Amino acid sequence: MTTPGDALITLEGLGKTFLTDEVETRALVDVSLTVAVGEFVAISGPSGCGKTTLLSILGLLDTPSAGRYRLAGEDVTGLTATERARVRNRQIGFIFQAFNLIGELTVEENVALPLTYRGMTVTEQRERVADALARVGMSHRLKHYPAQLSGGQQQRVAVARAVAGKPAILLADEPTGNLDSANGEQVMALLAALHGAGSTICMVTHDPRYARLADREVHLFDGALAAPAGAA
Amino acid sequence: MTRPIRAATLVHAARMLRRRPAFAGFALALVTVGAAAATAILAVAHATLLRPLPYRQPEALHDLAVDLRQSARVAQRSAISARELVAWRGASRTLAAVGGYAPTTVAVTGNGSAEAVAGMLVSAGLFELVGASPQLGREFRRDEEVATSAVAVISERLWATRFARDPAVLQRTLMVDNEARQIVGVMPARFSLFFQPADVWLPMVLSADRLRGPVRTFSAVGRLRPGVSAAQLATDLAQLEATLVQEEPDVYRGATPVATPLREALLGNQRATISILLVAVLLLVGIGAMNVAGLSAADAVAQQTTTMMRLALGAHPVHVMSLRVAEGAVLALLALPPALAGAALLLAAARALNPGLIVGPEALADLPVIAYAVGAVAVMGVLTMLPAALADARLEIASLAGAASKATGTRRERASRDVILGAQVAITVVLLVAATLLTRNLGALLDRWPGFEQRGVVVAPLAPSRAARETVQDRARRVERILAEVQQVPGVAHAATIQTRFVLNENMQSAIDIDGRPAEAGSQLTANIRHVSPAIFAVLKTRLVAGRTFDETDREGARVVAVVNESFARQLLAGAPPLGARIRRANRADAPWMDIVGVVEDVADAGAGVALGPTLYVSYLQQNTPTARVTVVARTPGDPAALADPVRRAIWRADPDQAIESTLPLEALVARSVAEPRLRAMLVGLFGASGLLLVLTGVHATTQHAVVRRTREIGIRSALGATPRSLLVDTLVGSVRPAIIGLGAGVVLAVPTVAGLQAYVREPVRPSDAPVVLLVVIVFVVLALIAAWLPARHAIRISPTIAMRA
Ligand SMILES: Nc1ncnc2c1ncn2[C@@H]1O[C@H](COP(=O)(O)OP(=O)(O)OP(=O)(O)O)[C@@H](O)[C@H]1O
Ligand SMILES: [Mg+2]
Repeated sequence: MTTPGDALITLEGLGKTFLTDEVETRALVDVSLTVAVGEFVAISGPSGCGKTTLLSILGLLDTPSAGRYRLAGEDVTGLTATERARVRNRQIGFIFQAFNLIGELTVEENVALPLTYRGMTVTEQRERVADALARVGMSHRLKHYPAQLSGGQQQRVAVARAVAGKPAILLADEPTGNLDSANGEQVMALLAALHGAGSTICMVTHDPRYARLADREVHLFDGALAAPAGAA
Repeated sequence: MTRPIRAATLVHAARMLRRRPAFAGFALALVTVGAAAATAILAVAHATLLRPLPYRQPEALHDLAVDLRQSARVAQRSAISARELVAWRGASRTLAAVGGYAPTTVAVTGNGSAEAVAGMLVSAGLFELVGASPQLGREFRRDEEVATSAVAVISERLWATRFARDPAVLQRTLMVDNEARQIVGVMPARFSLFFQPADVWLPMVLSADRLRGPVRTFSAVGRLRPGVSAAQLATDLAQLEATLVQEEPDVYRGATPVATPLREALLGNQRATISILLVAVLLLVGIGAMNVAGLSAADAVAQQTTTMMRLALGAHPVHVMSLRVAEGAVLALLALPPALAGAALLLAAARALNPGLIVGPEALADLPVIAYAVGAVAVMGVLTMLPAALADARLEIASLAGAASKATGTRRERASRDVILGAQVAITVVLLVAATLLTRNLGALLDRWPGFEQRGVVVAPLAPSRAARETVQDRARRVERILAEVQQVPGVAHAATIQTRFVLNENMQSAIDIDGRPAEAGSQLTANIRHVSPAIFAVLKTRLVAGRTFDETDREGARVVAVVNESFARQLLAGAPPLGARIRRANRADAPWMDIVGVVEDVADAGAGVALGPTLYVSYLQQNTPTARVTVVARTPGDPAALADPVRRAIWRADPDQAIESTLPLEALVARSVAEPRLRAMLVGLFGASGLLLVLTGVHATTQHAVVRRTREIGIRSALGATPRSLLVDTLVGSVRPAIIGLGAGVVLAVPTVAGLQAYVREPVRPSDAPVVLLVVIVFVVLALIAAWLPARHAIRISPTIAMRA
């Protein structure tokens, strides 16, 4: 496994170009970035500068049009869809701005969902789910449905889902964007605690207060890194 | 808004539909097909179950018959005797009038070629009894119910074809069975008594000499006096029967008169079949409606942006919903003409498959039936758009509540969709299993060797000759002359005559005695009887099992001989050697004893699959009667249809006045005998196939709908690490699982259905039919998987990046 200080993520000359109706959008241009194990990186920049695109590529939701991406020492640039799904499932925990809990599933089932894709035994799944929900303080809502929870509670369940599989890195795209400030602070406190316990985190945020919680801030501007990359 | 739907709304709705040709086309097709099927079956149900019989005060009319049961177990419904008719007509206190009738076939000659037509013997006053009157002339009087009356009432068709609608037709005569009859009346076009079309009505003979003896050939109808109950009628008839028992105990002891409301008697046996079909069609329309509903819900999702836009621009929700209802109305309006045409087509097809059906396309020309059709399209049209209207209403509420959650759908919503799909599948499985078994039954009926080779045979039933002065020898010679001529026809290999017309369930029976085996007291042996010419078994290729068949020497004056079939030997001779056994017909005291000289295999000459049991063959050249029918059968190595005309002309060369009922290939007659099972199998098969199609489109639509509706969820799952394969499998399982549960329910339901079908099939359903059910299930699952897979493929193309979008 990886030890603190090792490079978990290495991007070299990464580019992403979207082609829509003959309009070419260069969302990312020549991005080179290293994220070390145990590091908490905040990504910020103006709207449309490519933050979400970058996070999508980091999370293997999307593939870059140029450059190379190494995750935990392995080149993940040319993986097939199925292989990328496996890597996402084991290495990456997502926290979305829109929570993205599945309405038909209970809190418990939502948290267990990524685990079910690993073929984990039900007992082990239960343990991990209970553990994760305890960490976000949602153990008392096991059988509730997302619609029965407040926004802040939903996001805490989403955090539990992200950490239940013990991923190598947590990716959060404006995790407080849909929350009021009290709930937002609660979720940020959770992320800080996770970081304190050793989690590697990449978080997109507009809010300078939250960005300051990170070890390092990365600025994107028009798809390119504004500050020298890798200067930790 | 006082009038939510105005003409302008309809025009707007039509324009909206035109912008979605795929949806509109599919919805229109479903509404049309569903409404056509519903209208057709409702028209049949209306004509047979609801509409009053076309007679004056039809509810007072009762069918009169007698029950001749020997033991208490089985009712033996029988026609009545002339004496019963006269007694009831003369002395009933509960019946205002009683009339008798008996269908017959008569030969009409003169004013055109010889023609065998349907006729009916009727008692005086029968037309008046039902409230019908001739368009010209009168009906029969009581004094005409004698053998010498020589009068006839003819149909409008005969008046037109034979008399060119001569207004003075009442001064003319018609040759009926070689006897000139004065025409006394012409009935109106399309008049028929009790659904039995006829061209000639003759007075029945009720003279004193006909009132003795056991002959029971008449059907009877009575009109109840006002205020009389069914119980009073039964008592009255029973008392009248008691007086007959005193006069002729041998004939009337044990006979119980039975009165049945006429509708029940005429149409009661159709009610079960019609009810089954009605239920099947309603289920089918239900399946269709569920599908259209799913389709329209999907359409509502597709139209979401448009609808939201409209709401945002200030349209009232009622406005938006009324547009949907208007779209439904437009669909209904467009579907009405093709639905009526489709219903007519269905009814015409049913009649073509089974000419015996009393309801045809003309049943649609009835205001209530048109109203049913309008109702059917309206209901289907509204049902089509209702879910969309409701979805639009929910959209409004959702947008008011704000974008609270990106989660999609609730369990309850999904469960109700699953239940609908499962129910559709269950119904369809039942229909398919029933159809498959009915079809297999049909195949089994036709595959079973009937005791004759049906290919290459032409069959020409001759109208009975009523020339009373002919002797046995005269008739034998006439048949020999006819056969000699037919034998001369190029292409004819052999020709012979038989007594049957190969018509379903048409049979002749005779009471018989077996020498040295006296019948038990109170019981009488009976066998089917066939008067045949010697070559018959060779022509039909019926296998000889023992002894010999008839030959030219078996004629009047020679030793009297008989041939029996295997069932006769087995059941009536009970193992005793058949050859040499002596039997005779028991209905006449002077009937001669016959030596059995041969045994042939059983011949199913009264419809495919109809097991006739013991049958006795006698030589027409040796014994015959005026009423023993003669049907010419000729075998050819070529096409029997090509022989029809030459055979007809050959018969006329032998006897120019001989009326020929028809000349048809034997294969056609056999096929006709299975018209009813074929119609049933085809209808149920059609319903099953439509059900299957609907279910498959349903599976396809729900899967597509699920993929579209759950796009975001699928994206989230993919982001969380679901592999493309597991997404595909999940989607497939999600939409096929309810179908499989429905399949299980269908198989369970199929068991009582199959048991119920036993009553309708001539070939019993056996456990060996289980693979059929299995096959239906496998085919179903495979097709359902394909139907689900087509749209489910799109699930794996959904990009996980959508999870990142707020
Ligand atoms: N699937 C896509 N197809 C075409 N263009 C896209 C797509 N996704 C993103 N883009 C474009 O790429 C650029 C970067 O988008 P991205 O969503 O990464 O911005 P962002 O920094 O996350 O903005 P925001 O702060 O508003 O969320 C934008 O110009 C956007 O329009
Ligand atoms: Mg973004």
